[in-house]
Amino acid sequence: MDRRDFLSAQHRLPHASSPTNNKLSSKKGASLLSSGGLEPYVPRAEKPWNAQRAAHLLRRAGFGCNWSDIQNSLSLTPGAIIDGLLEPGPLPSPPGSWVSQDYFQNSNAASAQYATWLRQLQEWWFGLMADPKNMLREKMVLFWHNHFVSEYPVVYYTQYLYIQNQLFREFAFGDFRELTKRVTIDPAMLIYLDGYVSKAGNPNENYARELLELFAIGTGFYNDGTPHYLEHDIIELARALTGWTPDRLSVRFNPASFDKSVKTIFGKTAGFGIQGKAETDVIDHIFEQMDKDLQKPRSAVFLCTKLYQTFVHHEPDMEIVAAMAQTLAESNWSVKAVLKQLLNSEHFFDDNVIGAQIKSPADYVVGALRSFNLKPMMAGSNLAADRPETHDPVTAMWYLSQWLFYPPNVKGWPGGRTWISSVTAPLRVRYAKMWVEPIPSSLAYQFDPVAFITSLPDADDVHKVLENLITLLIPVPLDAEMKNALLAELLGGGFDYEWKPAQSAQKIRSCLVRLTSFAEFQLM
Amino acid sequence: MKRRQFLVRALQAGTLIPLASTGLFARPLARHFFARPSAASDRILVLINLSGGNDGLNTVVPYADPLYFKARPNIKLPTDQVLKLNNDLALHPSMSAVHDMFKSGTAAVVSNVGYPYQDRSHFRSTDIWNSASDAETVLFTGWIGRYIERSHPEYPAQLPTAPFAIQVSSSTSLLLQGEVGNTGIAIDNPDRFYNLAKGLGSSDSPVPATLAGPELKYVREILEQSNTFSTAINQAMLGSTTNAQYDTDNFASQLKVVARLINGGLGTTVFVVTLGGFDTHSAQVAQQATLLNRLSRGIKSFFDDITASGNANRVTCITYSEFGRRVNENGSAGTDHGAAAPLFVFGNSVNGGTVYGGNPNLTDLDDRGDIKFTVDFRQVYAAVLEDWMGLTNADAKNALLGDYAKLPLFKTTASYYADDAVMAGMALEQNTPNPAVSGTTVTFTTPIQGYATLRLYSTDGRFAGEYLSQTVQPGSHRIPVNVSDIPSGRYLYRLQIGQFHMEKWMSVVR
Repeated sequence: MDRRDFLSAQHRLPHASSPTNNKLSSKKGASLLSSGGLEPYVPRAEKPWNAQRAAHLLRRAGFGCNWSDIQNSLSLTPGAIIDGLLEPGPLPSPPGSWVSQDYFQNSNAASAQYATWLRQLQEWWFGLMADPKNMLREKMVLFWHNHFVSEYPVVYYTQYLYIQNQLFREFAFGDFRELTKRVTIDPAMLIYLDGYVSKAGNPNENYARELLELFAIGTGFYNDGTPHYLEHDIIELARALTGWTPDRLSVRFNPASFDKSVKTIFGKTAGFGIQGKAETDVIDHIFEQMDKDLQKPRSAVFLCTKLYQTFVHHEPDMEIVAAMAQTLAESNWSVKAVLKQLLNSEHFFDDNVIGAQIKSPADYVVGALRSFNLKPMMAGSNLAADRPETHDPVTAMWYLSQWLFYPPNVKGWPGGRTWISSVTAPLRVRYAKMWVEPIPSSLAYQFDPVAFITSLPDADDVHKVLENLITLLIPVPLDAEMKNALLAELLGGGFDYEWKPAQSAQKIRSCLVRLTSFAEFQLM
Repeated sequence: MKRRQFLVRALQAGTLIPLASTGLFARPLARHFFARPSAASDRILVLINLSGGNDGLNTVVPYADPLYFKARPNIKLPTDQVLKLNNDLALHPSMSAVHDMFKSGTAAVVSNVGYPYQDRSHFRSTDIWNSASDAETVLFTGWIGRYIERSHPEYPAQLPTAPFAIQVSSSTSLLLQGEVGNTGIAIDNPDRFYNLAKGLGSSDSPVPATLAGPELKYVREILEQSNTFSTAINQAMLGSTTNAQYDTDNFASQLKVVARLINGGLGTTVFVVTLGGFDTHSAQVAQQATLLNRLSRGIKSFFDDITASGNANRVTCITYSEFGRRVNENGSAGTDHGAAAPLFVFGNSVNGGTVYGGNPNLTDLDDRGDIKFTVDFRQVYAAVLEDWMGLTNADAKNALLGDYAKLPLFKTTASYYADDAVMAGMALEQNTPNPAVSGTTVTFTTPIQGYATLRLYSTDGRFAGEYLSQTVQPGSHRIPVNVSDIPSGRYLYRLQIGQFHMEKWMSVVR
């Protein structure tokens, strides 16, 4: 059935917003241009390795770029850059000594103390995202944060959020199955989805349901009409997951709380449990389930759909996803293998997908800081102050609806078009204005317009400046009228041969205010 | 640079267009419009989403049912603290303001609301409620989005001055998604919205013929809409005040925004607010008490506010939640995802002080041990569309994509299209004798000639009998009603003459 039949027929099918939905899999359904597959991208005359493609890679596999990032990239092959991105440095040192204080030491800590620690954790992570050395790793940490969701207002204990965040960093490109095992008994997750109170005899279903629905399998139905999993699987899985509780800065297994009797999950009866504490590892069993339609492990299809949506386009191309799933399964669940294949592919570098994503707040804020070489002050948490010009980057993420450690619910931020609304779009435009043209009493972002513009090649030629500015900041073509509007701002009524960057600070600011108000600036 | 024309979409028949905010795709069907464009009605609907799955049994408590206490040894609510609605059901102790409204007849409870084949995923079930679909059908539009689009054939070629719908949030949900566009906008802070949105615009140049094109078009539309609506929002804010005390929680703040915009005469028809946190898998008692107290106090402040500004008669509020929770508590003093649950309807036009849908039946649970539904949630929507928003039955069916027996939730209400003079001359008397044992008489007066029916409905919306079905002349008419073959209970009798209708309650006892 192709997509159109599906939509008009309203058949018994899974929900299309779910990344599980492989029924929406017409190969070129939404493509308006021909698309490449997963074969490695080979630069050539009609598809050159140029500044546009380098900027595309740096936006999608990171959080944006400045001109020297683009230049460095063009001196390398795409493959070499991607290999570098997939080999990040050692894990960063923690945001403060508080991370190693367990709850006995903190038993009297006031709520203000935890709020302070949360803020430190947010600033620490934001700083890591803004550091171009590890940008793909941090993008994956954000991916996992939005996949294996935990929320600060529920977990509260910032030490556990730190432990979980470092786990995501350790496994940024790691073994998805092993990460799932670790998350299942991660202290923050045990609190967030009630694993810590789930005991033999009367288990709590919360984690079991979300493990299948959101973390490892996904809701929906196969083409033969059977569901991906049954309510019965949830009941039995909840029993298999009993017995674990956080203990100081680690976790503990309580044999007495564990349901030792056999369980029947996905049609197999065994003494299921986790991590060597039971006869049969239930996570291994979940990861053995096959997607009946694509004949790949269901968990691989599920994760690769999400990876595709994160790095390529919100509407998954299921042929590509199936091939990614094959890679994931064959590489012992190595996310690194999948990312390497995807980011290196002809498909990823197609003109058709460049600019086809809406920037997340992280992409928008971190990317602007990078592109404009901004050095913001952290102003501390001041959410009540409803004046955008006083918002530091971490606070801006709150107002743009992506506050770190505050996903909206267990499904995470839905992303894509939901980032843009009549609340967030005008605010994005206002933030950009204050970054490049500070208004009185605003936070000092220390933007240097002349240094910025002279970092572009051929800065003495205003036409080349404009061209490079657009390449750096806008992923789609601008029409002549829009270009003329930008040129007029740069020249401020003068002639093009009169252009002198060193004397054009205010004109450069005005040009950037105009450029960042274009809808095109919201794309990547 | 020229401003592009607002939201004009060049649609080619049969092509797929990505829809706003959901990232989904829908086929632009030939649009159906209601036969009559909706008149300049000033009626307002406020939808309150209790997200996370509110536990129904501890909201409307079956305090006389020993099975309730047996199922919930740790989280049961004490009989001496619950707020009694009738001999069987009582409200959670933290809902005293709602209890007062129930007693004064401006709040109704609809029990056991759900749908066949309950989906226990938060996200899928929320989509089902928002789209009014069956569990096994995926719809890409919301019931409010369809209602609005079909009432406004001029949209989206022309934008109204005020948004049709406002979600007090940073994004809109599937609820407001129509077939050709999103019929609502998100606003969380009207003052900031105006300050930031005024003057925004974007290019009218063609979008790229790549996957970037639809995304660019979407962002441009949002920027344009924001600018367009900023004027009306600003005027509504300037021309209004807040007339009641609100708590400082986020839910109260949302209702405060809604009241302010209503008080300011903004022409928006539907508002959506959200109270989250109902996913009480553990330590339920304290958490739910806090949330239900916020709900109750927020509603009271809101109605105080719009009553003071003279707008209360224009407003109906309805709560909804994706599912109820398991009858048996779990081992962590909480409850897991369940099925049917009650909802609330608030407003001066509501047939309040009544529980529709009967008591939850704890002896006949589904295969997961959850409450079976007796009222389909779309029966509530049907009542709202027909008897509150004033659609014809055919148009309501069209918006809901199905025929659902509407509950008699609203008092005598002329539809939009009713001529006030006709309604002024119509009268439907209380039946005598009432309560009725076997026979009773209903008397009515009509100023017009027309085809008339007199029908009885039970509290869960089921048709119970027809006692008149013929053309009547202007004047008074006495209609004998034989109730000897229907069970005891409360019944709504509805007189319909042409497009006009009136309702009253009768009791049957024996």
